[in-house]
Amino acid sequence: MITNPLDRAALALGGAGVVSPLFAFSTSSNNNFVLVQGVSVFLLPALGICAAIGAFSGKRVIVLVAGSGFGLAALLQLAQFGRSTNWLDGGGSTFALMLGLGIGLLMLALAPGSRLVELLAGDESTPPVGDRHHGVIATDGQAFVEGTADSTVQISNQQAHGQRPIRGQGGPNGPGSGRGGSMSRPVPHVPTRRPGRKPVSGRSELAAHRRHQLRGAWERAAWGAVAGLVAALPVGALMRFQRMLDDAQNGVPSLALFILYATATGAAIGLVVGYRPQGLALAASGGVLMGLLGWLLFSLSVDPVLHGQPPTWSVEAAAGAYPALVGGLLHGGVIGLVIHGLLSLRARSRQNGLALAVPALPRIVIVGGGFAGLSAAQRFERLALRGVPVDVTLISDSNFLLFTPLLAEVASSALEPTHISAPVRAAVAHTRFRHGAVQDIDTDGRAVRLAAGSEPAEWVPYDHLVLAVGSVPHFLDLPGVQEYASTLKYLSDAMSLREKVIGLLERADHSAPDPAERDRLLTFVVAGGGFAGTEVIAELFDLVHGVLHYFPGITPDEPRFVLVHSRDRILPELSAELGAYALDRLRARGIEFRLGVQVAAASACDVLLSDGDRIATRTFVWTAGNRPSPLLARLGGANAANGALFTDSHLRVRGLDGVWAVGDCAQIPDLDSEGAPFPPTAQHALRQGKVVADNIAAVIAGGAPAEFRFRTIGVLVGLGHRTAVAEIRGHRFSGLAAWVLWRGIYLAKLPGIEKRVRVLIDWMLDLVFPRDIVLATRQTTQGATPARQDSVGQP
Amino acid sequence: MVTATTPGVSGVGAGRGGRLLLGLVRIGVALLWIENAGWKTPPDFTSLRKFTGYAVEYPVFSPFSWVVEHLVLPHFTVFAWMTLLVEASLGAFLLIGLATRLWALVGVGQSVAIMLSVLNSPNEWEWSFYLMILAHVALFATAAGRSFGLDGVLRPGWQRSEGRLPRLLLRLS
Repeated sequence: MITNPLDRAALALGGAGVVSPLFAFSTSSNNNFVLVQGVSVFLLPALGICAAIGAFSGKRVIVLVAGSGFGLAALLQLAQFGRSTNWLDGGGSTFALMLGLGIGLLMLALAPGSRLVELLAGDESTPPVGDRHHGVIATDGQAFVEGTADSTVQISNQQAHGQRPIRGQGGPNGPGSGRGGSMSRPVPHVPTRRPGRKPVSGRSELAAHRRHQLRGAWERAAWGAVAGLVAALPVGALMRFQRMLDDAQNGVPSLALFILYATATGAAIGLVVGYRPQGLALAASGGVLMGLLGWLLFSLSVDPVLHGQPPTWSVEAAAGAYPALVGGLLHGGVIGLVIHGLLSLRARSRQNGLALAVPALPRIVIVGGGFAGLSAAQRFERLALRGVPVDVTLISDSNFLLFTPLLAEVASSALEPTHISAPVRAAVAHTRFRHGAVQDIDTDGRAVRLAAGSEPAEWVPYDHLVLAVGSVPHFLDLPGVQEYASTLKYLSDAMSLREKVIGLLERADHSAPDPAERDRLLTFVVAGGGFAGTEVIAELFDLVHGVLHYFPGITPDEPRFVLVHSRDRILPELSAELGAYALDRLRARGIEFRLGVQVAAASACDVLLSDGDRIATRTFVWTAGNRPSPLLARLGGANAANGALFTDSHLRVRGLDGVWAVGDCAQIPDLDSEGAPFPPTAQHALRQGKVVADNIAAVIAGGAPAEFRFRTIGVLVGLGHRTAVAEIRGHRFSGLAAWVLWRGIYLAKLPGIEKRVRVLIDWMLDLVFPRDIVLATRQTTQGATPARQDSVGQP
Repeated sequence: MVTATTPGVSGVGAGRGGRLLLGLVRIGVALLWIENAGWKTPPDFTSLRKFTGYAVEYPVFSPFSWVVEHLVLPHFTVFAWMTLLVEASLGAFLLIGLATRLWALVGVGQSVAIMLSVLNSPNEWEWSFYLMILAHVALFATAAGRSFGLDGVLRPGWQRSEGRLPRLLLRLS
């Protein structure tokens, strides 16, 4: 059974070539769709059979040969038809048919991801272990033992049904456990003990794979030759008995010549068809097809030459060689059956303990499903399509990629939460995904400790570890901040902030008119004047004023918005002009700015500033600091002051072999800025993920990793009220134009067309309808906030 | 012709039977073009010259007749080879379902050109030209190459690729 769509398509095109001589039976001169006569009657099916063999065997080079044959035939036909010399006896319709089949087969042979494409491109660094199933790697032992990718399906099925893996050494806790599948068919991880095996060294493993495949091919050819010889004896005797073999040809006994031909045919069938479990019919039919091809090549081409005559490929010649066709088909079918029997016996003996050691693939573990981690996993999938054999596991504590630049719009009810998040499994469908949290990393034993739900923790081994764990809010140990501040880091943060704000409006609308409490309910404080803080204060303003008409008990001048920032201007990442523009626009709406002061402490009902001022509020959002995940502190690598891992310019963590770091958790030197670290933005993380995958692949192949170089494209900040500021490649934009740019770029950057459409619809609806004030969670009459009245410093 | 698995445009070919019929329509149209390429025989292209002359003899659209008379017929050999190659390519590409949307548009254009040449000539049935055009419009609208065509098989690879050619083919399929 052919499972690869490319092979099935090649088979269909080859089948079209095989059946095309049916047009030769047309007797109409007006309605003969395709002119097939003369040599074309033989050439079309011969090339079609060649394509079919390529499809059955998964050898794209055979498909390439068939496609080239059709293409050359089409060119020949184009050059000759309408002339006195017309070797193929065809016309314009014959040319069109051959052109279509030729282009189609060539496209299939050279489809993106094909190993053949890599070879033609001169990329010899990648190993020849490309799987013809979806063009990605196969790691199952049987696939390498027999060198056929179809067996991968069989093995995976066996594993899925709980049968013993065929790989000789692959017990649940033995070497190689936890890696039981190809990237195209992720299978559940078997819980492992803490591994301690020697890391896979890339170049030697790839060389081992090559040797393994070459050895498998030779073995199949040898067993095929034996099968051809075995089949030649009864078939040859039968043909001799039926007087189908002459006594001698140019002094060479015909029977001896036939045996020689049969042995060579057997070797070819063994090499091409090989062995597939439960593939008896396939082996037989493959042998029959090879017999037909052999008849075309030998009986119609070589045999006349041996008799001193040029081959004619005429109907008369074919009719004369008809007995040989019967013999060739019979012989091919018998060879296929014999090969299947011999190789299945051999496979069984290997399952019983004689299996060859199967080289292991380098194992890549990516920790973190953010921009950097997901980008790396996607790059590995693409590299796998190009023939780089790796076993990739992505671990993340959330099963979706969050498009954080639009998080503030979720908090302000402008966007639906799920519309800015894309499932990891959809984004990297061919990568093994583990939903869980990494508790510990053993860099000596090369394993990460994974806790997933209530299941016992397990160790996941790796040869290369990519850390993309991102960052977490950093509260600077300020009293009460961690306890009482809202953050805007995760999707749940945005959702709960929205719920909180709307809940407070509900309370303020109907609660007793205590002026102090109303101030607290309707005052919204944001700490941090960077991208996130500025966007949050602007979006909160838009949310509150956009829904205020629902709350008749609140007058428009009651809500108060305060942004606290430690520096003298907001948006320090932008130029001073744009920062001033943003400040002016937001101030003009009534948003207060407390610049040059810091938050000193927070409580449930107020925020204390460093200058001694106290702001009474029930809503305090903290965006003033992030730090890399605390997990990194336990690694033992070189950590920066903020806890990030120092890496070199190739993204390797300093001091830790086989560990790479990307994204917010890494301190990566920018060689174009005198070693200053790259900023922690999504645009950098995406590029770093891609480069780290390329670098690991290069190291595995024995090459040198590349330096990460990237020039920031630009920054965009939404200011609400259909205004924004943007700085792209030194060009500054502000106002409505920047807002259109901001929305357009973020819309284009959203993961997947579905999310783009959903967000676009959300935005369009937002232009027409007021924002939603539905509270998704049931709240008490006391509202979303604690009823405590403690102030900072007043226990 | 080709056992593709990728569904076509949503709403069309949602079921396997529907996609199969769509594939049959595409292959049927391809065979019509292949048959059409079959009677354009070099070097003199006698029959094609006769039908091309109808555009002048029985004009349908005067600007088109002018172009045929003053541009095509004086350089007929070049025009004839171009016609042969275009129609053979239409047959070839629609047969295998590769870049089908592009070739469906080419098919619309070629059908219009034929219609403007021979619509008013004797023994022609105007419906046949309208049906030819509409058939190609249907192939375009349904992205028929994705149903049992190479487009359906190759598009996943093109989507994963970063090259310009795959991106272009993605749009043309």
